[in-house]
Amino acid sequence: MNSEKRQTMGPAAVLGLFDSADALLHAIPKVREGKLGRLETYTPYPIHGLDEALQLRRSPLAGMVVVMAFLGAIVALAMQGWMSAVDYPVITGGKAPFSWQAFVPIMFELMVLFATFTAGLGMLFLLNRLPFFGHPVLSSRAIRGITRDRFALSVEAEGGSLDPEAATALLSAAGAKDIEVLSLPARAEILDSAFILRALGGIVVACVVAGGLMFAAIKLFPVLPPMSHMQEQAKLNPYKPSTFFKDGHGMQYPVPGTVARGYLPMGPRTPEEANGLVNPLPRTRENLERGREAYTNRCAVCHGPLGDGVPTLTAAYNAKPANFVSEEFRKAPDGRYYWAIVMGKNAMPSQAADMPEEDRWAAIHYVRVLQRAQNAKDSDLEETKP
Amino acid sequence: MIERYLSPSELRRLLSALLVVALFLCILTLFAFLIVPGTRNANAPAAEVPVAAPQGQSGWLDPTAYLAEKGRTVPPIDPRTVMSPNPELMARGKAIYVQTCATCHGAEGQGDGPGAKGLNPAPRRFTQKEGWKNGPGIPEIFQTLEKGVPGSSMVSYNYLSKRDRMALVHAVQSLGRFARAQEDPKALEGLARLFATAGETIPNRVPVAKALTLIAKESQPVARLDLRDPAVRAAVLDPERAAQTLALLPGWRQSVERLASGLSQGLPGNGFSPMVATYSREEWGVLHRALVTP
Repeated sequence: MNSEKRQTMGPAAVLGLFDSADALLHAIPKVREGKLGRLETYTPYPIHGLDEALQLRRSPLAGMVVVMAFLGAIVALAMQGWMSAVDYPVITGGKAPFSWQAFVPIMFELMVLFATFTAGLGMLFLLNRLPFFGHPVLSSRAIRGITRDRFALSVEAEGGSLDPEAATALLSAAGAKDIEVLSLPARAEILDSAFILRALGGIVVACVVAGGLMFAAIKLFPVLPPMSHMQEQAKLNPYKPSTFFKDGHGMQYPVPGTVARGYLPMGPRTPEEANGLVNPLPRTRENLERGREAYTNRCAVCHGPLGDGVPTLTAAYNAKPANFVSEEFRKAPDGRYYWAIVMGKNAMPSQAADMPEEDRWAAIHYVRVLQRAQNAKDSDLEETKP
Repeated sequence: MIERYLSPSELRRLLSALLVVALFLCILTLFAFLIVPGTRNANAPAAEVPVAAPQGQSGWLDPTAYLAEKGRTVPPIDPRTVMSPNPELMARGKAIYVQTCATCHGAEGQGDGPGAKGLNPAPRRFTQKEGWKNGPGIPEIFQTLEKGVPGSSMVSYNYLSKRDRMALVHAVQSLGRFARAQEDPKALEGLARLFATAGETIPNRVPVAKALTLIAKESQPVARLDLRDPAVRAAVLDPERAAQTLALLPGWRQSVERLASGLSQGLPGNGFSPMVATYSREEWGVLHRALVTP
């Protein structure tokens, strides 16, 4: 069947060789008048005037690109408009569902995408007629001359019919020095369509057989998963059963006595017990300054910068935090403050997560400083005088 | 006159040349005065402008930097002005009530203020006759404000002046929606005598920074702990903290129990190893002996 087909195809082109570009240019109008087939030239370098002589039309690529670019922009606009306004209307940034300004970047992107693809693919496949395996000129005798110093004019078959004798006569009349009749090159047997079909069928069968074997292997050897990704690892899953523990649960209580990092428990169990706590920080200047910082950061917003429970919150919300300067709190032990900081008190939440233990004790020291400042001894007054 | 020397076209050319030169000079001046010094100092640090330190009442924003003030004694008040409500006193009492009490006791005294949630025991309903801890009379409410209610969230409010507290008493009483019993005349008389005799002392004030310096100066460095004894060494985690704890813990020298309970409560954080929580009575005895006899 293949040999028959090759015979019916006949000659593909008749090639005439010329010595100079001028001879080629003069020959073209004469040959074109014969109207035997499509004309094509093959030259070692570009020649001015060839386009006009061959009467090549302007490339339609620019128009195609423009049309496709507009199409891309319209597609982008329609796609986004449909998604944002019709399919899933979500108000974003307080804008209307169809706010075209937001679509402009994508419209631009799709416009460029359509345009570049049209330009590239249209040039290659529509206008240059690729793919074209085995162009007859490439296997001609004349190709060596064409790439050096010969100028070829070929009459090529249009629609599968070409009269080689008429074309030869026409070319020699036009002044061709050498004439060659070209036919489509014989393809290698390996590129036969039957062979390709057989090969593809073989690949499909091989894939099916390999998949079946893999499936059987997984079923037969389930402990050897062919692809063990990271999610398939031998680990405890908190919400899955586990054969490792006796109670069959993956999630277990921590070992008794476990202390989470940063959550050291407090010794006392009741406020009364806490009253016996001792402030372990010495009242050095560094600790007092640290206390001032901690108090200012965590306490002063409610208890006031002076500890008198009159901060801005009182005016705004009628909140009534404790007045540390009052007699009751002046006499209260450090442990009472510590308990309130860790456990919270009334409307006050626990500050334990935000105040490390040293900050708590330092803040209590600073409360003592505030109390001293507003209930100063007579001797303190004398010392303040310069 | 000038046309004797220059033709009009020459004059025009001269003037335009002068204009160009003037423009050029202007640009040069701009460049010299603005741009060149600017580029020269672009990376130079800004000149340090001395800023006066903020002073509280004596100057600026810091509220803890008020002026030192000598305390004084407020003379006793006339009981007749406070023992029975008068419009001025009621207005003052209502204002203080809104600021100080309404958070928990509610604006109408129903015990339903925003701060009342989660209080145990719940705040008093002033509108209800039953269940008053100290009683709804004038001396009793005054007593509550003076001492607070132990075991509840009601703290002492004796930092308010006596007149303010009496104003509050009348404001609270006015919220009651029940017939009040006859007041005890003897208690009323005692209260009146208290107002008439004792004045109030407003304490001295010093700036907070001053008080901080004073306290830091007064604090005595505690003696270092003797770590030679193995029992002490095993029990102590942070020698400085442990020494501070022992210096402030009362009565531990006298009894092993006081030492054991005092140290166990402070764990962790008082400088002792958490392992002392598991000590037996004998081990506490050993530690006590080692700490008492240096």
